[in-house]
Amino acid sequence: MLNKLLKYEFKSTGRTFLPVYGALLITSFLTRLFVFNKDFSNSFFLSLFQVVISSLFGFLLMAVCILTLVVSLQRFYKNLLGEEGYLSMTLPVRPWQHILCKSLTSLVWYIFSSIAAILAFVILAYEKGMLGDFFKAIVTLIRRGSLNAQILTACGEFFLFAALGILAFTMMLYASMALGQLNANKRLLTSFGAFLALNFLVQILMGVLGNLAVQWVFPMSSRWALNVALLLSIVVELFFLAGFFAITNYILSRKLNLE
Amino acid sequence: MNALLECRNLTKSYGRKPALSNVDLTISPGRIVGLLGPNGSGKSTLIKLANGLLTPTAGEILVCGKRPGVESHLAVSYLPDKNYLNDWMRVSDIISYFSDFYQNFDASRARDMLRRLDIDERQRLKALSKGTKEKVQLILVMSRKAQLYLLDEPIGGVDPAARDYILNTIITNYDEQASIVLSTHLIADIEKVLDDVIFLAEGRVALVSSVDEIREKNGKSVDALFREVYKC
Repeated sequence: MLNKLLKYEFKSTGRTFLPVYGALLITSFLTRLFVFNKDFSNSFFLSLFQVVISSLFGFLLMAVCILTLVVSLQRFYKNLLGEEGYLSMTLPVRPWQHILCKSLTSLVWYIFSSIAAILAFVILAYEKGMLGDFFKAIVTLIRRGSLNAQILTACGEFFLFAALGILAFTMMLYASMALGQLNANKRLLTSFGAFLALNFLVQILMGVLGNLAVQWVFPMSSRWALNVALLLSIVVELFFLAGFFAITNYILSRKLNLE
Repeated sequence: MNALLECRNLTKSYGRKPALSNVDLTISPGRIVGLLGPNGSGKSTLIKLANGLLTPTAGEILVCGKRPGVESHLAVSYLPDKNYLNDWMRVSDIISYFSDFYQNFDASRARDMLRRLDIDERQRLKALSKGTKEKVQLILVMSRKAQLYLLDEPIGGVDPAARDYILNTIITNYDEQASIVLSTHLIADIEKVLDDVIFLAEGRVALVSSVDEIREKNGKSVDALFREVYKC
């Protein structure tokens, strides 16, 4: 069932993301062609075009960054708690499968959005031989011993930390919306209130844990201190992720109140 | 014989307003039941509760003996009184969707009924008229081999000729072990297919009876009785 949900979820969201990615990359290419190191001050239309294209590029870049967050929120709300919920929530599918489907899809689009943004810059600024220079730099770093096992592990941990952070934040938004729909009359307001409350809880817990970390981890003189710190952060994120998931799942399973 | 739908002291309130109060009901297999009542009497609320889209404030509702959940979703085919399908999808897409998620969905039956009503599968839902969309939704729901069909206002926006076709579809397509609950205002039209009726008024059960009993005891049609009971 989860596979089928994912299939339809990607189909629905792809219709929004892919055109925007396409527009971004095209605009990036056009900006490179017409704007970079090009002086069109003697032609009014070409100068105007330069301004338009650069503005469009900036706008699309920003759009791609916010788009994933907006779509993520919108899909959960519209597809599960809105009118489409009459279809989704009567499918022979367990709520945890819906939640997992939505959050995994969000994560994937976050990753793709990041890749699109990076690609846009590469298109914009790529010079011949850049890739070669990049690999040469990596090789040099490896030879010098700067890119050893510890750093690489830390990099891996960092990506995991970032991914889990996104997932946990998304799950916190889902939990807020799930809590919001408990109040039939003022759903939006209650969701917002729930978000603030959950955020507050997170801040408090992070404060407490931060204190503990300062006492135990920072004094560690081992060069693996960074890795340990990252590992502990990952564990904390998993804890929050599980907590928000539990809240969302419980509400969707036992306390659903569609309008 | 196990009841397909059972309500025990079922209450649902929105804030202080009770939409349903202390409802006790049983629906057995093999019956076509009309759930009748004026606007705001709790018909849709009852159907939504049976689908697990609402949570009872008090009491309980059981579908095939269990609380609404994954098993009941498979056993129940629900037609909401709402635009709940994704407008950009084509009719063929929705058929694939239903086939994917419901093992008991009969795609060939659905296609056959669509063909008979001259509905082009390749059209997107948003391009269809209100009446045609409702026909599509009803065809999808009736193409499932379910145990309990819950139809919330299935013939409201549909022209009289199509209404007859749809009602005919309903009674010829359903399995005798299954039951159908039709919630509607258009009693005169559906009366001929009903076995039983449940009258709801202000969230409470006002009357439960078989159609035959009503005709014998009161000597009038269900439609006439309804107008009497709910006179403004």
